[in-house]
Amino acid sequence: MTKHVPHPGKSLGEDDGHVSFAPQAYAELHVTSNFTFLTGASHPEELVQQAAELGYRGMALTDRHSLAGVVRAHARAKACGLPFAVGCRLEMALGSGERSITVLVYPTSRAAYGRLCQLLTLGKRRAPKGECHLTLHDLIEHQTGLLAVLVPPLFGGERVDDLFLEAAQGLCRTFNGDRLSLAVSLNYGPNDRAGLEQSVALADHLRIPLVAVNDVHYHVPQRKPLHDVLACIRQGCTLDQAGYTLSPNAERYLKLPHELHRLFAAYPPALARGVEVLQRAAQFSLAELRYEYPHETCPPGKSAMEHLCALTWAGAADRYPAGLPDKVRAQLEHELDLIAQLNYPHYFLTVHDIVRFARVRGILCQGRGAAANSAVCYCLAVTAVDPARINLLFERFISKERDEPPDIDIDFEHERREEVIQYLYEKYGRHRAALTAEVITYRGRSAVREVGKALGLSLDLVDRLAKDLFWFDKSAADRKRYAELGVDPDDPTIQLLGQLSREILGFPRHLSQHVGGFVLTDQPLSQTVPIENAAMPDRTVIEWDKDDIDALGMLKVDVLGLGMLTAVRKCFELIERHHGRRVEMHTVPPEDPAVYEMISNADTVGVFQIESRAQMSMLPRLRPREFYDLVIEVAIVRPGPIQGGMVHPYLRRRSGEEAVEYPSQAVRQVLEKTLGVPLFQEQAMQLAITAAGFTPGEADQLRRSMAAWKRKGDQIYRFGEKLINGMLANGYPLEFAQRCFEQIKGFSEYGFPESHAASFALIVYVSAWLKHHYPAAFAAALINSQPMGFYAPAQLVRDAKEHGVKVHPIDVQHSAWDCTVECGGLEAALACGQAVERSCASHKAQAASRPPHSKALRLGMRLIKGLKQTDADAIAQACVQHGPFASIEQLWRTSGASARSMRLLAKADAFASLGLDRSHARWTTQRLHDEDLPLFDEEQFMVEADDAGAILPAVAPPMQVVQDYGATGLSLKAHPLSFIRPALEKMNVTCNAELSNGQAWPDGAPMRVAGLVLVRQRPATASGIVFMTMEDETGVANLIVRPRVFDRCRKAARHSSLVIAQGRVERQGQVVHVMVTDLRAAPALNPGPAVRSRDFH
Amino acid sequence: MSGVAAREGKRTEGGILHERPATPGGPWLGSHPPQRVGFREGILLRRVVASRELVVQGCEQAAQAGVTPGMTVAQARALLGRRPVRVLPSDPAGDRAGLHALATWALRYVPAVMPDAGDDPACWAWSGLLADITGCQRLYHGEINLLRQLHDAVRKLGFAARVAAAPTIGCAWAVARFGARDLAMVHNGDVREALIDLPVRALRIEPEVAAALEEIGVMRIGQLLDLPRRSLPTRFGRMLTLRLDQALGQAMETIESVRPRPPLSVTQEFAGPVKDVQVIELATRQLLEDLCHRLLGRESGLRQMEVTLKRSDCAPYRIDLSVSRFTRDAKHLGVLLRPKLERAHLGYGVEAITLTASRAGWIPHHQHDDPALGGGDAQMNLAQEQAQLVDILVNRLGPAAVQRALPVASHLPERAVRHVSVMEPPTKRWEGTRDLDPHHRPSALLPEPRPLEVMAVTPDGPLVQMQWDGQTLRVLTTIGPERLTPEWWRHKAVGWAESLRPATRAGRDGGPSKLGPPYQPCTRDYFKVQDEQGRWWWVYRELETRRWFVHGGWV
Repeated sequence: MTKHVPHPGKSLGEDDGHVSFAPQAYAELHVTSNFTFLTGASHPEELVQQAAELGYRGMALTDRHSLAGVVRAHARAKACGLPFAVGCRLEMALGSGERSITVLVYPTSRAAYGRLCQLLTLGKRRAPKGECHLTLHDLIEHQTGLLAVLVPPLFGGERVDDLFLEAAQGLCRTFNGDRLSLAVSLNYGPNDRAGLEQSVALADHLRIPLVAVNDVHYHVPQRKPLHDVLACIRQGCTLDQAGYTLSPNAERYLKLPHELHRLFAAYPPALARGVEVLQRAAQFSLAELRYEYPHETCPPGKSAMEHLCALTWAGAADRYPAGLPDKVRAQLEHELDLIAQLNYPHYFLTVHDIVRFARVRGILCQGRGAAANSAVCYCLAVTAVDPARINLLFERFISKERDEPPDIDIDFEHERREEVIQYLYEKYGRHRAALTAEVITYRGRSAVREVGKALGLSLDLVDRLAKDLFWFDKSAADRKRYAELGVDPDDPTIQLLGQLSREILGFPRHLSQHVGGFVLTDQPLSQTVPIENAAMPDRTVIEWDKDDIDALGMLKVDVLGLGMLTAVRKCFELIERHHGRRVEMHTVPPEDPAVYEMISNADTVGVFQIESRAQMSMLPRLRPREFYDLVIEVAIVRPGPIQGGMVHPYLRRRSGEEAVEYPSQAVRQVLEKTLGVPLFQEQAMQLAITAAGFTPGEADQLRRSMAAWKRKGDQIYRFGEKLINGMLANGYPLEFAQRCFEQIKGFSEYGFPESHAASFALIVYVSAWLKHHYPAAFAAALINSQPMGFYAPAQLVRDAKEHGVKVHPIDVQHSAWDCTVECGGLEAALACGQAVERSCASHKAQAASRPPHSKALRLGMRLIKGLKQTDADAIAQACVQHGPFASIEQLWRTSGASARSMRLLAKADAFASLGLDRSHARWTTQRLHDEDLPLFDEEQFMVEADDAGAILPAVAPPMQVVQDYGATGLSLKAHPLSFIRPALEKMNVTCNAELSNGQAWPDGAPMRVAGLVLVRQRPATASGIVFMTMEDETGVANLIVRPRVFDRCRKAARHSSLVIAQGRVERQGQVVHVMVTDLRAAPALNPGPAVRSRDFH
Repeated sequence: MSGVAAREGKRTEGGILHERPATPGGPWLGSHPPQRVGFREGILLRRVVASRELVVQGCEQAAQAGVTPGMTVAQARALLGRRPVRVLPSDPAGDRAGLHALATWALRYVPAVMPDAGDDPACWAWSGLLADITGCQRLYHGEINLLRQLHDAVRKLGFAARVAAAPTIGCAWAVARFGARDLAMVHNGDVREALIDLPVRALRIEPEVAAALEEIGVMRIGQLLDLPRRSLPTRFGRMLTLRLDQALGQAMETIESVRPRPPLSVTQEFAGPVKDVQVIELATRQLLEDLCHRLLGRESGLRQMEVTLKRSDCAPYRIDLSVSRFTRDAKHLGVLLRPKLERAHLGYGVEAITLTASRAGWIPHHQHDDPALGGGDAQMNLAQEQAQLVDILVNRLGPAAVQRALPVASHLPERAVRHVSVMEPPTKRWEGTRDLDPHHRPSALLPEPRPLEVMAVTPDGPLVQMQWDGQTLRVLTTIGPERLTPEWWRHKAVGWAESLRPATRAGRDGGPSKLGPPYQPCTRDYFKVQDEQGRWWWVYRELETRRWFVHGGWV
């Protein structure tokens, strides 16, 4: 659902140059775009473009209570050279509130614009999300500098009556005839001529001029069907039921000026007044919004730049205790110079302040994206990619040519991001800090669903069509699919559905909040843009999205959440507590060969980014040896490079199978670090500059169009032509040019910029280092940060066990809410810390050499499904203060936990230290009640004190394991599959561990494996192939399921938790897959374990 | 049908109808209404819980594919893959009614039957019937024959049944659902034996209680019986011990049978065959009065009536009569009935006449509604008289010939009205308001627009003269144009939107756009015009074809 509307500011100026005005002067003052949600049927850009093409003298955009579309319109108007006025339609309550009066307002100056924003903010903040409550009084208070057009209710079903006249006269007194006009529109109603006469009479009565408008809702009459459909969606009805909600004709479009002159031939002054109002309103342009950064980040008596320099050099000294390398010093000087020139110090100080706050609170954070290109950001501790270790391109971040503010995205721990957000609100106040909006637009499914409903198709059919969207994307040639859906492709309604769904794509549906994009200003924000309430309490959102903000050059800081940072911070804490060692992101020992060895063996369960199947199968082939290899690894296993066909050339070149050739020395410089294959966005840009003669500005547009070609498809092809021609002109072979273009096109689908990959690679390295050296703490931290990552606690625990970590089960008297690390006292902790320091050749050997008591993972009560943290904390505290306990009841009464929690603990078999197994604990806890029992029962309670020893049926081990899975999602007792192993052996099923035995099972050998399905993944790039990961008691097997097989064995493939797969072994070096030919459900444990795989498709 | 039994002779028996597919792969629904049976494709019943669509019950095919109640419809569809499946909303009220009907039906076998279903639609999988079969065994030459007959009869209705007879309701309930066979009998003294191997769920206990027992390892009723009984209530509530006692016959439980209510009917038998129409009419009139009097006693009226003439040596002759609203006015009904009686074929003579109120409904009593007493609401009386007139017309002319005009919310004049049979219950007035002055629509509309020749100076300007019926009429006044576009979604012309061009543009492109095929919908410009004789016409021009039509006028 979340997708940005393509933004005009980002597109090329298609029609640079100026409009030729039509001989008959006309300007449209009443235009409703699709930012009046579900009403207007054209994008603001389309309206502006059409007005310019028809030779209008100007156009205003007057969406209802909203300025959400004005930036787009403004940007397009600037490109077309059309005079454009910002406007807004206000509907204000009259009298007791059942009636309303409609007024269009247009600011004539920056100050008036600020007042309009404040007026809208006032109305929106006092109303629920999406509404705006205003009265005439509010308008009169904010009226200075506004032009107004009164829309009489002549054609709106209501009559001009005393209530309206009184309100109108009130407006006349405030605005007088100079700034107020009366709107009249002729839309081929039953008696337009009489309407015009009445309007003239009313205008005379009020003594204000009449102004001609056309109440435009769409730019061309062909949008009338869509306009009707939108009305139906708004009303929740079908076209057949809509009746008079629809307009009787298609006249509310942008008409030719000479036609309007013909319509208003009886009263030409109305047309002239429109042009006059527009000219006055167009005196104000959004370009006047001079953005000002917040100033309080700077101590008094110091200029911002001085302060920034001081902070930077102090930070540099901190970052490089051994002395600042010359390269970095030069880079810092260069950057500071540029920052001073472009006057961005406040921006950097603001970001520094946020990061400083996070550090004080102990919240781990790291900048991502382009900011990692900056040494200043590194020294300010915003990013953690050491510029001494990697060469980055500062101009990608800030450049003089692109006069655009820098954009810094910072990841925070996902559990504590809210603290940062609240800090920003507190520090800058709600009037100066707000989240940017995210325009939620119609996308394939929602479009088909809602249009289908409006067309009156059955909900059932609509659901089916919406679900299988292929019919919609692919052309009508694919008639078979229609038949499968039970639909006649020639049915006119189906064709209408297709046509209208395509039209509605990209239409905004409502405004939502951006995940973390903050706008901060020096002056009150409500004077720049209206602010409204978000759906979440305590959040306020501006009306513009991030592209609008970009287009106007405003500062934005993205406050994002990243789960792995939470885990890393928790791991650091555990290490400090149990191993007495303090580590930070930038003090983790770099380039540890043992860590790279582990990564090369694809032993990366739980490691950031490189834990997915695709990454894991790439690791043994790529064999990372140094930090930059990780950067490449992160960037290369992405849909972009995969689709651009860059992966295999790179791998071949890296392994030396293919010679690295460069068509020229210039290209060599650009592509050398990635062996001649462009892997990063920056390289594409540089290639365009050096080889195809693009200017840096054009290269940046190329980058932007790369990011948006799916939405604005044609643009990249225009660039493609230019790129290829440019390369040919510079003497490069055609084949090279075309390949470059294909590769660049591939990026557009989620290619990474290098700096971003570098930021992520650092987290990859840190998490891999933690996993290698402190596996128990790492597993505990990962489980404590759930939900996150790829693997469920069961697999993390299993992985930890395989690395020699002893895992203890949950126990009321030993567990806390979180998982903990248990060591045999402080000495042991220190000893094992040292043992780890001696890095061993391989992790297996190291695990064996580790003293068995050295580190154990104690599972926490958080794994118990449904348990409340407060109860768990109370129990843990009671155990520390009053423990150990002899009976459940004693523990229950002391801790004050609820009976329900005690039962959940019993279900999880957590009373072993009290000498009770699951059944007996459950039997005992069943008697506890939170509410007081009546006296009668109390008596019985006493009597049965002795029944604790009731003889309960024995529970078989398979059932025990099933119950473990049911309560906590994992079992330390046994693997469920071990119980059906004898049955499996009869069926010729092999253990997963056998897969690594290359001699017994060579490439292509038929094989049967079984297991518990952990992950199902259907990557978008794999044309329907599903990757499944399953485990048995011996190990993990990776399955590849072709769509045909998946369809045939749908039930097992999709829903079974225990499956048997038949197929052939596929070996590529260390990477082993099973290419599945048949899948079926395994003979079930009864009842089966309650395991849900993590399905990503 | 399930039974409870105390020992001596006072034996009650229970059996359960549990619907399963009669034929493999055939339709099966936890819900009974027979009208639901007979679909070829798979069926899912859904209900919406917190805006999620959940499966309440699926057919056998769905169950085989792995669909279980409680999963989302989307999941179920994924499981069913490409198999055709129909998703219907679950209808608990309908199911309840269906089960009740089934219970009433079963009364033909045993004297006391009770529908057995929980309040939660999700529990409907377990619904069934309970019957008391004490003393019936003799009629069927043994209990087993009764069970067999019931079993087969239910199968013939399209449901598969599981039937069990037992000394207690609880035992019969459990055995019918969880027992090994479709047909089972539990004798006195075998109750405990029959129960111990069944799962604890068979005790009709809350699922949470059953789950709690299972967690402790107590899966079967036998294991439950081994636990100290007195420690059960504090742990699992009193219901558990009660259900246990009921199943074992240690606590009372009874069946509240359904009681059918036959339609109201009156009969007169003659001493011998009567061929005299007047006698028959007289008798009918008396019967009608009798029937209406009885309806008055029930505070109800009828909308449909069946009159059956039992003829000697002939099949009975049946007359059906319907009226437009519930009534118990004998005189009115007599008026409607007389012409039908006149045409009745009496054969060798009528031996008996029966009047049955086949569709009756509630008419609340009113005070003073007799105009003869000076009371009565004039408007209500008018409505009553109108209804009687309608009844007479319908009975004379047939239901299709008498129609009611209803407004339709549409901008197009010819679609703005709709005719329905007057016998259809009146619907609400149309929704959506129209802020249109009634003067802007003509008082008379032609059934079809008729072509007309018009002379105008400018496209939107006033008309000069019209050619109509060979006459040339000078136009004095022109009001308009009012532009109406066709209802684009009704027509085959998907490309209509493409054809819709601003008139000026079409003009600029050179002349009128080409004439489309006859069904091509057109935008119309309507004008109110007054001719020299003072008549007002409603004429329009098709924008695309430039042809003129007259569509109505003000009379």
